[in-house]
Amino acid sequence: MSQAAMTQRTQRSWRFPAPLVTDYGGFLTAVWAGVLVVTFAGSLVSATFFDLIPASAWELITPPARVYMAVISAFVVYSFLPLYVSHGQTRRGFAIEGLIALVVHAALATVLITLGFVIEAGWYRVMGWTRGVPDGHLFTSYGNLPLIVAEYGLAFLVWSAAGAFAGAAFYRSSHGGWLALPPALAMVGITGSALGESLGPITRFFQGLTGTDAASLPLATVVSFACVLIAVAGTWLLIRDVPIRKR
Amino acid sequence: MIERIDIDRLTLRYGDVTALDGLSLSLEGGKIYGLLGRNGSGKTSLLSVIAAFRKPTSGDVRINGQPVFENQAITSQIAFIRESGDTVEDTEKVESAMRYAAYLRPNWDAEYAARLLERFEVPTKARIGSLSRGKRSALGIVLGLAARAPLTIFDETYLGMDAPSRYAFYDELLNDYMAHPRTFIISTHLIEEVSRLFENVVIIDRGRLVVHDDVETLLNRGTAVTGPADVVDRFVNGYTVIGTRQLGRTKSAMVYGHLDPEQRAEARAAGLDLEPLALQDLFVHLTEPRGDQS
Repeated sequence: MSQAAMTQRTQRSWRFPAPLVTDYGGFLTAVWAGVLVVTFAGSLVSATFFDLIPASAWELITPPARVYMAVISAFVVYSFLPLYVSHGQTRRGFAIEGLIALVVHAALATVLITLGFVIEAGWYRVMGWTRGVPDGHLFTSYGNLPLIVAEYGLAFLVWSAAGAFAGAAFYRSSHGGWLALPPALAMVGITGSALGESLGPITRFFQGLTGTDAASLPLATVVSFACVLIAVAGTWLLIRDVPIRKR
Repeated sequence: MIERIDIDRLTLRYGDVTALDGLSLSLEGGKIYGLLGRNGSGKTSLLSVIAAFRKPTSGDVRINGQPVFENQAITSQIAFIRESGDTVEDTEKVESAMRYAAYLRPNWDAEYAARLLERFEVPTKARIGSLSRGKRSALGIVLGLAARAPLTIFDETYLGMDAPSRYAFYDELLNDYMAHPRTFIISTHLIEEVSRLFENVVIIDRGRLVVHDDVETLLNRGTAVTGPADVVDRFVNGYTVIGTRQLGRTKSAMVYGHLDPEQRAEARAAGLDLEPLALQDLFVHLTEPRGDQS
């Protein structure tokens, strides 16, 4: 490490978290490639042996992809907060670098998910299958890439922030951490409703609150960023003075 | 560079348990300190607050006059290694631990870390979880020494290490201290084994400071008086005797308290041998459950 980099690390509490971004970005990309192959192979098996062609095979992996984002974010807070403080960094410094990593990770996931839809278009064309967009989206065509990027970008951001909040709560108290799950689920539920998903009572509550049952990008953007803000603020409140336990 | 560490009326409570009880202490930088105390005396709690791993309930820790907690300028100068070190997850490899240390530590010396890993035979490709307890401790030592932090703290960082590895650690610490002078605080239960490293000793008990002195002054607080049993008994009458050993007619009494030159001359005239007490014997006496002789 250069002397300039050392000085920068001493005087500033944060910088671009390159190791976090490359480690988890690389892992995400590897997982994506594996899931892509498995998904398309699965659709082929389904069509060949069961005569069942999914409206969009790639669509099926988007719910677990959201959960993956939350789990990774929770893990990063739970595992890297103590690592950072043990190596002489502040909780504040970690919070900033963790937030940067979370945003970059969500952005990469959005690109990869969108890329999956693009590749799927080619796959379905080759196979002579037709695709259809199910209800519960801001977009009505898989050709509307900007809206796909917007929808999944917002969803991944909120799921990541909610995961970080839950990870912080579990780090602070393994028992008390469970108390963080209802608000975390509420945040992702409300965002899902704003993005057009139908999630039962939470969607009805959201529609009653906003007075509309039509999903729109502006409303979804406002709701998503509000949820991210709440989750990030909650995460900071939980970690700002948390004791660092032994591994 | 750490000029000084000032601890002022430091209190740390865990629920109903008081781990540190209004402890005040000042340490000068550039020395090797031994921190001694019985189990549950508050050593790890004290070190955790100094390293900003914990926020105190009340009181203050300042390094070079600046508060420590959430102060990047100060915390980046501290390496606190607990037992086998807090590093990446067990599923990660040793090389990953080195990579994050290099990223986060401003003074990280990667070449020195590589040499230490080789000396302690810690394989870089091994997963942390697959290391034996001794090798994990060695990894903690590597993370602590190669950080070259102006304040480096080792808390029981020898668990599971065999004697040759522990002696290698002491040699490395001393050599690196000579080459790169800085402040070390070493908390240990292996007092006699490590005491040769200490310049100063801090003893705490039940969250309070018992003694803080340089080793020579501390050792002068106690004397082993050895000779014929009846002569020893006569001489030590009136002194604080903290222990005795007898083999046949020869007796050795451990006397706590300073002996002035006249008293020493009197003892020698009576045919008695005088030797400084071992640090461990003094420590045991000073931290006896009902002792409060600071």
